[in-house]
Amino acid sequence: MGVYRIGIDVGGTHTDAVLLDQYNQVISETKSPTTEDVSVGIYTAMRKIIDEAKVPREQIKYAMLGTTHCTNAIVERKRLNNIAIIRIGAPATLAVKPLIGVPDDLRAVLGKYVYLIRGGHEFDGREIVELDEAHLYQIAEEIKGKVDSIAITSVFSPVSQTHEQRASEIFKEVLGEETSISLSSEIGSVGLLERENATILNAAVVNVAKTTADGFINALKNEGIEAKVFFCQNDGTLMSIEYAVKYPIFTVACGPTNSLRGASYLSELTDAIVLDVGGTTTDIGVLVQSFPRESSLAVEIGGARTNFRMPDLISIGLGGGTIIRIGEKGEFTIGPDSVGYRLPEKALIFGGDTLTTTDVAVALGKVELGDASKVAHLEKDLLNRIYLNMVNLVEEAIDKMKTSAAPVPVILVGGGSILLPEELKGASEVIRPLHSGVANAIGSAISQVSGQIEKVYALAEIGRETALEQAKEIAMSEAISAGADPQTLVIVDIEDVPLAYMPGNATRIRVKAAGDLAQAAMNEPV
Amino acid sequence: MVPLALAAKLGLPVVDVDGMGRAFPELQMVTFYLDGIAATPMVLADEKGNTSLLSTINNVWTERIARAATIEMGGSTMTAIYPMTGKNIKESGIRNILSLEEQIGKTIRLAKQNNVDPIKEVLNKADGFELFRGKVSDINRKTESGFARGVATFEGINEYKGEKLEVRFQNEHLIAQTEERLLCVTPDLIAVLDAETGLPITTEGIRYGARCVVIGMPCHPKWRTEKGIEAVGPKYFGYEVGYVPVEQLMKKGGLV
Repeated sequence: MGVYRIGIDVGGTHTDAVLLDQYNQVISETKSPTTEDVSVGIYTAMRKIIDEAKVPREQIKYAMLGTTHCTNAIVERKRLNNIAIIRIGAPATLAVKPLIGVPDDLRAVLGKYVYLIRGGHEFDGREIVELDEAHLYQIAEEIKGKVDSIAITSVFSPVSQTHEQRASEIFKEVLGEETSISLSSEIGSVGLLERENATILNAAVVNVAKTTADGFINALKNEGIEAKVFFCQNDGTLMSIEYAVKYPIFTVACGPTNSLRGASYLSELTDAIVLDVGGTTTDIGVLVQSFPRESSLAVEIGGARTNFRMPDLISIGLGGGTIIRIGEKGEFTIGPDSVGYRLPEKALIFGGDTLTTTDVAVALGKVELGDASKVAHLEKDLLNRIYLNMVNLVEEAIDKMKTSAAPVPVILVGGGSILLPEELKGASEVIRPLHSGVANAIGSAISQVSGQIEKVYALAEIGRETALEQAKEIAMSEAISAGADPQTLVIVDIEDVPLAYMPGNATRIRVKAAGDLAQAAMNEPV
Repeated sequence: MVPLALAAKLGLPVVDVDGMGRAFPELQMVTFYLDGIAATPMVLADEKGNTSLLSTINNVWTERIARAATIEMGGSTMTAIYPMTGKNIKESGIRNILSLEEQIGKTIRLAKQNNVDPIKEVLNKADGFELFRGKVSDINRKTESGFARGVATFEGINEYKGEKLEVRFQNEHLIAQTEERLLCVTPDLIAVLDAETGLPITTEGIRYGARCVVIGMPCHPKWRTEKGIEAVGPKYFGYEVGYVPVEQLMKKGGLV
C-alpha cells in the first residue's frame, strides 16, 4: 500500500499544491489563486491534485501546510489581532519603551495598549521587585472587551518564567480562556527587545494563523482525508497545528525556506543559488548543504527587529507582473510596482492595458505565452535594452549573495522564472528543474521531522559534555519517534542558559534534532 | 553608546578619546591606570534608585568593590568614573577612538552597498588579519563572579577545513588558538564577524551553527609596554602563553 502526502504552500497570490508518494515523487501538482477565504483556495488546489492523482484518499497520511499569511499580515498591517503589550520589568527598562524602532504605522496598530509594570528578574533569577499583581488585575479590567490577544514579556524570563506565568493566570482569570496569550519565554533568547518584538508580532497574528489552520483542516475534512496535519516552520521542520496556532511567529519565514528546500530537492543540488521569481518580486537565497544559508544577525519582520534565525535572502522588485513604463525619449523604468495576480487581465499579451516584464519577454520571443501579436508593434531595440536591464538586476543580486567570485549553479523556480535567460553572469549553469513552478509546495511536503528537548541539568554533577550528549540523544530519539529517518538526523540547534540562582551550576539546555521523514515509517500504517 | 545618549540628552560634548582603544572586562584595564590616574571618586547607580560613592586605595580595589556591588544591584549599573584633568586625558587617553569606530561601521555599511567584501574592507581599515573561518560548533559560557566567561569552538570551513579554533573570552575575546597554532592573544584585539555581512558578533550573540570569520587586530602601542602587558596580557587572565604581537604570529604562520 502506498503512503502519500500533500504539500501546500499558500502564498500572497497563489496557492500551490503537490501530492507526493513515499519516495517523494511528484504524482500531481497545481497552482491556483489564493482566495480571500483561505480555505477555498486550499480546497480548490487540493481537489485538483487528488482528482488528478487518483490515489485512494485513505492512503493520504500526511498534510503539510506552509503559509506566508502571518508574514503578509504583518507586512501589510492587516487582519492583525487587537493586542495588549505587557512588559514586566519596572523600575528597570523604563528608558526604552516597547515597540521602539518599529515603524510608526505598525506602532499605531499594535501600540494601543502598552503597559510597563513592576516585576521581572535579574540575570541570576532574583526578582528585580515583586510582581505587581494588583496592577495586572487593573489592566485586565481596562482591556476587557478591547483586546483579543496579549503579549507578555518579563525581564530575564528565559531564566525565570514565574512572572510571565503568573501574569498569564491573572489575565485568564479575568478575561477567560478565549483571549490568546503569548509568553516571551516560549519564544526564547535572552535579549529583551528582540524577544519582546517577536512576542508582540506573535500575539498580533494569532487570528490569522487560526483562520489559516481552520481553513486547512476544513478543506481536508471536506475531502474526506484523515491525515496528520503539520505546519512548516522557518527552519524547514514541521510543527503540530496546536502549537502553530499558539506560536505562529515560527512560521513567518517558511515560504523562502520551502522554496529553497524544494529547489534543492528538484535539482538534486546541495549547494547553489536559488532564484524564486514570483509575480512581484524575485527572492534570491543560497543553499548550503541542502538548507538555506541563515542570516546570523537580527532579522527584521515588517520593520521590527526580532531574534529569529531566518534564511539570508535578498528580494528585488522584479517579477512576472512588474510594470514597465516608457517615457517620450525612450527612457524607461522597471517596477518596482507590479500588476501582481492580475497579470492575466492586465498584461498586453492577455488583452490588458499595462506593459509588463512578461510582455517584454514574449515580444522578444523569449517566451511563448498569450497573444504575441498584441506586442508586435513595440520597438525591438528598446525592448532589448529593457530586457538587458532586467537581466542585469538579477545578475547583480546573484553577485551580492555570492561569497566568492567563482561561478556557482543557479536554480530557477517560481512562475516568473520563464522570464529569465538560459545563461546568467556569475552562474556556472542555469537549472530549471521539472515542477519548478511548485517548488514551494514540494519544499513544504518534504519538510523535516524534528524532536526537541528542554531540560535543566545540574552540570556540577555530570559535567557539561555529558549533559549535552544526553540532551542530544534525547532530542534525536524524540525525532525518530516522531518519524524521522535516523540516517538523516542532525542537530540543528543548541542553546544553554545558565541558571545562576539554582545550586549545582544548573543550566537549561535546549536541543533540537531534525531529519527527513523516514520511508519505513511511511510504509507502516499510522 | 550610553555616553553619547547621555550627552545628547544633557546637551554636552563628548570627547573623542577612551582609555582602551578596544574593550576589556575590568575597570582598571585602561591606559589611565598605566599612568597612575585614580578611578575614584566613583559613583554607581542602579535603576531601583540605589547609588553608592566609592573611594578606594587603588584601581584594582575599585574594580573588586564595584563589581561586587554591581552584581548585587542586578548585573548592570551606570557609573561615573576616572575624574581627571584635560591634560591627563590628552596624555593618557587613546585619541580619535569614536571616529575610528564610526569609520569601521561606515566601512561595513558601504561595503554592503558597493558589493565588496566587508571583511576585507574592515581588515584594511583596522590593519587586521584574518585568523580563521568557521562554523560555531559549541559555545560554552557561564556567568561567574560577574563575568561572562567561556569558550567558543569553531569548525573550520573553506581553507581551514579540518581545523578547530577555540576562542576564550571573559566578556571580551582574549585568546584565539587552534590545536597547533596560537593565532592572536590579548591585548591585541580578536573579533568574531558574521561571514556574510562582516558585522561583529558579541560573546553573547554567538550561536550554534553561525558562520563566522575571526579576525585579529594590533592593539594600541600603550598596551604593548611592560606595564600594559602586565595589566591586560595573557598571564593576567590565567593563560600560560607569552604575549606575541599578532603581526608576528601571522608572519611565522602562528607556530609557537
